[in-house]
Amino acid sequence: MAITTTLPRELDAVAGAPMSYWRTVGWRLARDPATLAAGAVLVLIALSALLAPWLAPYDPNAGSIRLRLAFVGAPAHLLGTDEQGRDMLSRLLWGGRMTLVAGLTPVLVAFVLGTGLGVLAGYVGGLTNTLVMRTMDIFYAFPAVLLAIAISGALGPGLPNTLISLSIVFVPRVVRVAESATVQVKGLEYIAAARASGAGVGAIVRHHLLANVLGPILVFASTQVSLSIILAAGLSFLGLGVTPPAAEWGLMLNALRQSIYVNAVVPALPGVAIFVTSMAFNLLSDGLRDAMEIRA
Amino acid sequence: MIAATQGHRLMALLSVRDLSVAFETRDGLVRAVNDVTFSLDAGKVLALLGESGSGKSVTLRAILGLHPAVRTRVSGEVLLKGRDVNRLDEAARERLRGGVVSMVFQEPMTALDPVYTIGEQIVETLVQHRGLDRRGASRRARELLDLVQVPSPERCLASYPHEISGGMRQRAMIAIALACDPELLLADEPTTALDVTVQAQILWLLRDLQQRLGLAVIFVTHDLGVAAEIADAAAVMYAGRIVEQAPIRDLFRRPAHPYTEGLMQATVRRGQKGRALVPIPGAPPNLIALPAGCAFAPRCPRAYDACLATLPSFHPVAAGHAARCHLVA
Repeated sequence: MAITTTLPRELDAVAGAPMSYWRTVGWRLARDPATLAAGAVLVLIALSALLAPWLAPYDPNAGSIRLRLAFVGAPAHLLGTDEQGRDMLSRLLWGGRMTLVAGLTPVLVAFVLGTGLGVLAGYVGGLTNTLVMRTMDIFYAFPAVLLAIAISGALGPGLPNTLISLSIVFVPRVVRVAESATVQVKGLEYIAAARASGAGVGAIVRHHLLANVLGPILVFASTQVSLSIILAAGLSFLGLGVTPPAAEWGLMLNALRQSIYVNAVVPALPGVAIFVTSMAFNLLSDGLRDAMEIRA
Repeated sequence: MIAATQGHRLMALLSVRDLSVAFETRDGLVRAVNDVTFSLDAGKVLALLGESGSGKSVTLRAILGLHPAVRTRVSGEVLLKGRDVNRLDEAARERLRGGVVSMVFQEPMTALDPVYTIGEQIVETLVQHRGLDRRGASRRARELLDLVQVPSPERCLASYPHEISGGMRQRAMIAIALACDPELLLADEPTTALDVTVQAQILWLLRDLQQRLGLAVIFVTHDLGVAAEIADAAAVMYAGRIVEQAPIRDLFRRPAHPYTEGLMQATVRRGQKGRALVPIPGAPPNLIALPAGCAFAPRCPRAYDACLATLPSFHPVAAGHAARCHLVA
């Protein structure tokens, strides 16, 4: 063969080994200041929620009638106290736990269930697809807030019921994304090529389909976290979510709302916490989406 | 004579008889492949020639049994080492694919999975089919890249499909197709998507591999020059039918079907300078409503009444050379 040439060994060393996909994603994320900042904020929030029992200076549920609605910066109460004289810093730290659990769990459940159902519907197609997707459309027809309120109203208040109702809200959304991604990938030539080299259905779904579909679904799911946090807080605000006296940001916002003319800053704090957390999740998912758009 | 052909069929690696593939669509039944019959011996190269939409790729996919069961009608026999692919269950077909017959696709960028490295894709195939452990599979992957003459195999193994050039991708694709030592390689226009210089390299590589490994190859192409380079025999397809079948030299020396002649006049050849290319007027027929007679008759300069009325059967031109044309009879 006259045309074959062997490249000198050094060329390999100069060019260096190519980076793996996830390393490239990580490298890109690390060079994006907005995403880094959002990530740092989220790590701080998660840590403070996780370490609440040790960080909180007071019992979040123990109030003092004499010290109601203390201002931010009051002696011994850094962020003031609420309408029952409970320490706001402690309640915000403990409330973060509830809010994060209520925000993340439904999205996680929806990610797993939705991916499963969506890939099944997309890959099998036909009647299965029609059954799954039309069922999802029925849920999708209701506005998210209305559906969450309706299900929570029917199930009654409490954290478990909040998680169930929010999961029901998010599953159909993930199914839709998973199904359309699957249908798209299923028609691509590398799936046919995998079949041509003898791969069975199981291997194709596990190796080729999921690997190509999980990225977009993950990005979509991450955009839903902030919505889930807001919905969970909203349900508590309406009295359909976490029940008093437990600390939860939405619930705190509701209880403090009546005191807004007495002390304007303290009632705003849970709202700020909800805003910052959901904003950070949004920025993170934006950065994730950009970083994962590598193949072109 | 009949006994001889039957004996021949028993020996053939691949024998396709009366293969028809039709797709049910909203507009009607699309008859993509109609009564295709040919056979291929071990170690031989058959070129499947024809323009876009003539049923070449559909035929290849039918040989692998890749067409989905829904809304596709496949009839006829595809005997691969004496076993009819159309009658096998999916598990048995999966054993044939890769092991006995494998395929190289036209566009290596889309035929390789973008989320795995070339190495991972070769190793996966080997682990699944050969039951090799990871280390053994990695070693074999490296050997395969040497076999397809990739200049720096280690680097290629660690690369994702988008990180290497089109020629390297097609070499990697060929390496995957050869991973499990198939006896028959189906090449679906493997050089079409590549630069002209790379086309020649891939073509020579395939020819070299074919000879060294004793592979049987079906080479789908619309490029007559490519067919002349690599094939022992050729089958010309038009509107889902084989219209002429001949040893490759015979086909170029004495094209018997007017369509084959037309193809040759529409191709740039040596000594072409100063003479204009002659295009074939008209367009291929609608596969939903094929004409009753010869499908090429509406475009044929020499068509007469019988061509429009009845479908010509195969008429022998010379030994191993036949054409579906009333003019030959």
